[in-house]
Amino acid sequence: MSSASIEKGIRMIREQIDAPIASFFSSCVHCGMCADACHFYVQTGDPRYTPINKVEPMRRIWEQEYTLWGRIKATLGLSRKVNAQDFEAWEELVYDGCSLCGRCSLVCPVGNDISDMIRKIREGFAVAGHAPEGLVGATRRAVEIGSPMGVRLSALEAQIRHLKHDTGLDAPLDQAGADYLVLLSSMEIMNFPEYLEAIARIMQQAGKTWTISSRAFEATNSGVQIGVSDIAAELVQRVVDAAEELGVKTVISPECGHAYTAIRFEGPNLIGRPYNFRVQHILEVLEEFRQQGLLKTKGKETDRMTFHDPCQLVRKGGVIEAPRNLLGMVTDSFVEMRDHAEMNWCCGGGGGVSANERADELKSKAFNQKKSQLDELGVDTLVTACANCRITLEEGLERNDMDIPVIGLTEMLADHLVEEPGKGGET
Amino acid sequence: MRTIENDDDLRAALTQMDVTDQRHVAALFVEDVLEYTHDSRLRHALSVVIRADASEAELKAAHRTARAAALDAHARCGADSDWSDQSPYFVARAAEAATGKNAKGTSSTLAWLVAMQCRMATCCLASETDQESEENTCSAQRRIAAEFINSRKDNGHE
Ligand code: SF4
Ligand code: SF4
Repeated sequence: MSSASIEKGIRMIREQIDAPIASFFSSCVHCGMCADACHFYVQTGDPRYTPINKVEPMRRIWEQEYTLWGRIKATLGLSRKVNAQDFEAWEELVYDGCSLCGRCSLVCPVGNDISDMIRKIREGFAVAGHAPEGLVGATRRAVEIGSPMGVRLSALEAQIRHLKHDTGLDAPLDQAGADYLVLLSSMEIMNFPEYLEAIARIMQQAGKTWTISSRAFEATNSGVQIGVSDIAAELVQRVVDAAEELGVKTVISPECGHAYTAIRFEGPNLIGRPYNFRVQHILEVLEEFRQQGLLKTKGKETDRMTFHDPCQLVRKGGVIEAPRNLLGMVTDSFVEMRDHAEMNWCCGGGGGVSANERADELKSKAFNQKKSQLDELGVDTLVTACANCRITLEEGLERNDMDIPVIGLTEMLADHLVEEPGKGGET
Repeated sequence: MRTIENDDDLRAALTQMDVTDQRHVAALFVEDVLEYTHDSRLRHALSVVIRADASEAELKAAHRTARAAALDAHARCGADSDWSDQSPYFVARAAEAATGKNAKGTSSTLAWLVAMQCRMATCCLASETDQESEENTCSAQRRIAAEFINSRKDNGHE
């Protein structure tokens, strides 16, 4: 990379250092608790993966430019400026070795939001040209095509045709005034089209109107994952424009963890104004339906099953009870993992790690944390609510020769819906 | 001679079958769309299901093979993907379900779920104006199920 790019990267990192980040650096007591909370550190034992170390270049810029002692050290030649070699060395730690799961932020005794710091340092790495190829490609496709995986409207339309043909159910496009605007992740469209059918059936039973925007159906925000706020803002804006144009009351984020935090929490800050609609994760919507008696199920699973909490949903969104209440409708054999809910361990594939082929080996090492949780539980089925977690878990289980099917919770609930005569659809 | 005219009949017929028969019919459904994939592992996995004397261990191995094929064929998160290339993935998912014990974690019929995955495999290949391909797969499934039921009757199973 040219020195001009590195300079740009350093400037961008400097711009990210606001009052909270400065206070995080000055309050770190070097206790190491964040290390024990991170699956990348725990499973590799490599101190480079200590969460706070992943933002060391940012700390050095902060120290050298914003603290008196740091300035003196720099003047006396006692500290070295962040350079191209640092970007080279830290790129892998910042992207491959962090799934932005937020577990480290939760345990830090002085309240440092290390996960957010890593999200922010990525801004500098991306402009310096030090982002993984896979994420760069995904981001480009998100901007140009509207989907990080290059999924076009015609693919979605084909699925809608299939849905109508085989179930008689509809997934209405661009219906103004609908109660809900449903977003989908490319992963769902490509790998788990059952999700679309599940939504159609649940909405029908609940008596709610819903729609999908032909202009903005994608929920995933690659701008957040790679760390380029301008792109992240543009992707959020597309959804906001579609929701406002259609006049919907609520936008539903699908079974995708990062999509949820991007649109729900980062979104208004990125575009600089509040929304005039609500944003909910699909599980929050389903829980509301359950509470209102709009979700009627029949039959219970007999398999011993557990729930993998998607990090963004549980730690950032605080959605803990909803999946458990919903699971209670369809199983009496639910068991919790040792560390669950807000202390759940990440599958290893979030934060853009799955989109980064280079990180595959490290990702599978990190998965061993999940494996040990599952080993001690001995379940027949694993349920989750994120398409990316689902594939990451399936891959990890397969590599470790573990025969445990992984199911999406929305799909599972839809499969237990009571069939109502005259309402069409499949059981 | 039993005939199956529509999906309601098909579904009802599949629901009445025991799991072994469902697996067998499901494997025939997958064979019908097997041309959409080059993964030779799947043909072998399906042949195990169709064999009446397959042992539990063989079935388990067939299931593992099909699952591995499905994971190999999935569209990777964030990777450049093409919907029209997804057929092999859905064929492999169908084979995974067909070789499984039951419809995983659902109350749906195993063979029906396989039928749906096979139709999805066809759906990927159908162009925007081509409604026929998926309909062909549907009618093939009705015919396969009817023939299976009739052959069982002929062999004195009912
Ligand atoms: S956010 Fe998660 S993956 Fe990243 S450093 Fe913290 S604990 Fe590790
Ligand atoms: S847990 Fe917090 S205080 Fe302790 S080392 Fe990590 S960042 Fe510093």
